[in-house]
Amino acid sequence: MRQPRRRRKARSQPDSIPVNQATQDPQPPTRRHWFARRWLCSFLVIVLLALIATDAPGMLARAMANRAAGQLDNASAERWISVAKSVSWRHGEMELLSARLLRRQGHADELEQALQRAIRSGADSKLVSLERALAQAQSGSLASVEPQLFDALRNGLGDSAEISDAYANGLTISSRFDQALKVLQAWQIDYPKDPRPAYRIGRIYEHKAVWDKAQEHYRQSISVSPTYYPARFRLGRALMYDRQLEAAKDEFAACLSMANPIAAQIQIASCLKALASTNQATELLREVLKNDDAKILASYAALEETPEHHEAARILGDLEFELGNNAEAVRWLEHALAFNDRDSSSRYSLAVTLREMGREEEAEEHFARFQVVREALSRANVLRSRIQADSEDIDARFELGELLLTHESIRMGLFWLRSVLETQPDHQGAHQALAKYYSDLAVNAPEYKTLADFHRQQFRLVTP
Amino acid sequence: MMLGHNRIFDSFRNPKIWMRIDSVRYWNRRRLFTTIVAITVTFSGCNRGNEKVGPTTEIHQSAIDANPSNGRQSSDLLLEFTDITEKSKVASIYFNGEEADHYSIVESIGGGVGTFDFNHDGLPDLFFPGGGRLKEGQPLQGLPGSLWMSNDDLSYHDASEPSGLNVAGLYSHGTAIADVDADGFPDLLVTGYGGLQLFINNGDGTFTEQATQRGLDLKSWSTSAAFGDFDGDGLVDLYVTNYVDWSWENHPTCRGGGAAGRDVCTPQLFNGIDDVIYWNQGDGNFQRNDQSAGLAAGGKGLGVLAVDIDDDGLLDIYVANDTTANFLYRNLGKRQFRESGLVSGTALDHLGIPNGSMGLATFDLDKDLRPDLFVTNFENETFAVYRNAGGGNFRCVSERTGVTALGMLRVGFGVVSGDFNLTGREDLVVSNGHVMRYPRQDNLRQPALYIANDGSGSLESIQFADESYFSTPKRGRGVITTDLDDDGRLDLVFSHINEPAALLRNRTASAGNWISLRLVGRNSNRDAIGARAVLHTQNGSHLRHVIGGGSYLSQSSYLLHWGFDQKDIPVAIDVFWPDGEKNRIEKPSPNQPLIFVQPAQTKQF
Repeated sequence: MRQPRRRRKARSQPDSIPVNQATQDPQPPTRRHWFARRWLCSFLVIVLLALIATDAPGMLARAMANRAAGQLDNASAERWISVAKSVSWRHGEMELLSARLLRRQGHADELEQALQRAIRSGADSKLVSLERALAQAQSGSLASVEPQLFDALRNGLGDSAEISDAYANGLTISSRFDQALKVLQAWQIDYPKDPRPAYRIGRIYEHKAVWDKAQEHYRQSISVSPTYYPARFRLGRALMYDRQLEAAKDEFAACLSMANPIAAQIQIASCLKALASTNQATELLREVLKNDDAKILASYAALEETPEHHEAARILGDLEFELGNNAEAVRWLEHALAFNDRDSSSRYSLAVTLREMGREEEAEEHFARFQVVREALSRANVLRSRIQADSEDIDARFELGELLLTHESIRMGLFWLRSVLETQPDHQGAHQALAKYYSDLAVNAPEYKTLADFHRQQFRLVTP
Repeated sequence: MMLGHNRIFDSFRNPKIWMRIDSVRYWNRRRLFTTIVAITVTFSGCNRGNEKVGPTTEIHQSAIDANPSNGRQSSDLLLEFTDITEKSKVASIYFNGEEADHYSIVESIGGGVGTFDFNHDGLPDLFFPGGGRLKEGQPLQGLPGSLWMSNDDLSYHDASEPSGLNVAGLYSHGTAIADVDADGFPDLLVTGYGGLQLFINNGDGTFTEQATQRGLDLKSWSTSAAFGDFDGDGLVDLYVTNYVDWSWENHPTCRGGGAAGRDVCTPQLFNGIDDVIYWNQGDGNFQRNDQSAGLAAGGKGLGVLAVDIDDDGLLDIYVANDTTANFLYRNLGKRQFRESGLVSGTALDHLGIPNGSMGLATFDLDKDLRPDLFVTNFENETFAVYRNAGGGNFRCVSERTGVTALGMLRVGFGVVSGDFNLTGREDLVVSNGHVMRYPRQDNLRQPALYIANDGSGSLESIQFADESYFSTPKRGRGVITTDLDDDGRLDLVFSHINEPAALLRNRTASAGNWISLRLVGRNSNRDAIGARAVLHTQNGSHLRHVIGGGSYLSQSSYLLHWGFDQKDIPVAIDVFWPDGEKNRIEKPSPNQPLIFVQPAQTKQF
């Protein structure tokens, strides 16, 4: 009976102990050691308690998050916000910063949730209110928040660079370009090392089709911060417009050191295509389009761009057509149209490709739809010229907004409709169009219900 | 119709007409001798078979096989154009009346240039529309055009007054030339604001204006025009592009960098006016088209080109519209057209966007013996190249050809194609100049552009020395080709706004040979507009068309011209006449001008 027990013991404990293990086996702690350890542990606990009591790790993480946000490095800022939230119980400031990053990226829907979290986490209500005002200004609804922003700038409440940015953006959306330029120039003087004011000035000149000045300001922005990629990207675009394709390609190539350089790669492919390097452009885009659309969009977002069209799919579709790969061309052009049904360039290319493939009926259908859009947009050119001749032409602005919203570009459609309301806040047509747009949107995205209700209410107020 | 045809034959039979030709003072004996030799040679070599032939698909294939793409030849580097304007004594200036500072869009159009041998002395003469003056609220004041008669030593003298072409009355823009009454003498059309002028060549060195009498009743703002036999009756009809509905009553103020912050308005502020076709009735009169012709409404026409794009024997029409989609009228026969710009792929650019199109040219980019199209456009839009894919369909290949990489902001107007350096490849020449008086992006004056074709489907611009015309900024509009000195090298004439026109003599020291061929129609219209000719050499085949219109507001020579390598041997020229007949000129002799008169009548009229 005892033998088996010994055998069991033998299985659990080897008969011989290795020499090295035997020599390293800790000696039983002496009393001195025991006290040393205890003191060390106590000290660490005290330090830890002190850190917790003073929120030092949170302060550090918050500082890093704010620094990254100040350097416009949204990705790093988000990482530090996450760290700060995990080491600190004070979430208010970080929720507010999260909201700011969401605002910068144009995520209006998530912004309000972040602000609500900020309030619950004890963020300064004035700053929350200011952030909300900045979001409103940035979206072009400047009228109700303009005095608040003006006061904030005058009294030094909040981050004046952020306020200037959003305020100028709102003024730009409202076509108040001269005032926007003044705000941006003041910002530029106050923050000479911030690349954004010059960049924003460049965007205004680009919008006004003053390309030389746009390029000049993008270059200014780059000289302030060579890694401010939005300016490089826009400079590349402006150079493409000027047909300086090699120079444009260089600017896009400089953006390749971004964390997610897909947008730059797409533009390089576009340059290569225009430079008749069809094969190189095709190879590059085939690689790019191995990424999903979300990653492609994220790359544009990092450049402060929100593309309405799937440029990569359209260009690759055209290239495949040029190379005679018609089936592939159709696949990518259909992908571009699935991304945005209003993409008339892709529809035209698809129609031409289908015609070439002998799929006449499908081609006819796309040609017909394209023709409808073209006819509408030919009217848009007339309206643009009218506005250029008389910037106060409200009827032209309204008609252009409706046309673009329906046929070409939601962003530009909204821009012109809002510009109508800036001049004539009770313009019932503009309110009606916006109410309809936001109501349609609110079916799948309830966060737009507020805007829909607002415009519906305004429309009712002014409708007899 | 019968009368028209009879008059064609009359021009050869009627001794009075021949006498009138003989009596022209400037008949050049050397040229007469050359011409007679040429006619003799060509007739002795021509195949008088009258069989009609279908589309020449077998030639397309042989062209591909025999003419592999080849690289640029060293002769390209020798391109040399000498500005002989001063020596030529041609002193024509188109005035647009901008000095009155009305900033009217009329000022931006400019004027063209035309070439023709109005007196049959064998030398190309030149005509320039004069433009006009502007006084607000008052009818536009026209300035007379000028006719420059060649003296055979590359100098010219002003024949405007003796010829009777110094007639004002129309704020003029464009010119088109054809023998509208088939009497053997080229007649002259002038377009402009408020109508047309048709100067009938009296055959004695003088002209008589007869637009209204002959039914050209247009009162709108016409720009370019193209003659061509669109209904296949052997007589030249007329297509006229109309621009927009500007008038003093519709004269908005537009912002810009000029006096009081003004500049010329863009065409987007105006409505386009419908183009028109005038059918030649054969009795010397024209009849305006009705709805059944199938012309599209609107359009802001600036350029027009008549060429048979699908080899079906019917003359098609391509129209360059400013800021709106271009038109491609497929000729269905029986005086009917179908507008197929969009579905053919020629209406828009590579992004599916309508451009500010101005000038037009046709050339065979890829040597597949189908006519491809070249369109000049507004700045930032790039020029457009449409490759003919057959069956009336085109592919926009502006990017693939490298045209989008030319890299310059140009407002392109006139454009002509030609083998200027006798390499066997057709290059292009573009006249540039801005439409705004104070352009934001680029200069008012812009240098002309020489675009070389490398033979493999790629186009690239050629840089010239600083003192060259091609390096000198101008307010360019029209450009034409003709062989001014009869040396087998195509020369160029440019028209500008408010500055003298320019004559460029081609002095390129090429190693190539050439053939030039003037077709004279008998059953077909006398100028053979719409004819197609293919030169077959041992190394390949080369397509040319006698086009109506083309370029911008201008009329090039109807001469067909080929260049080819010195070691290459011409085998034959196939001539496809507009009436469907085909003739073959066997073993054409290189390096001399040829005239080929359509063989005797085979149709019964």
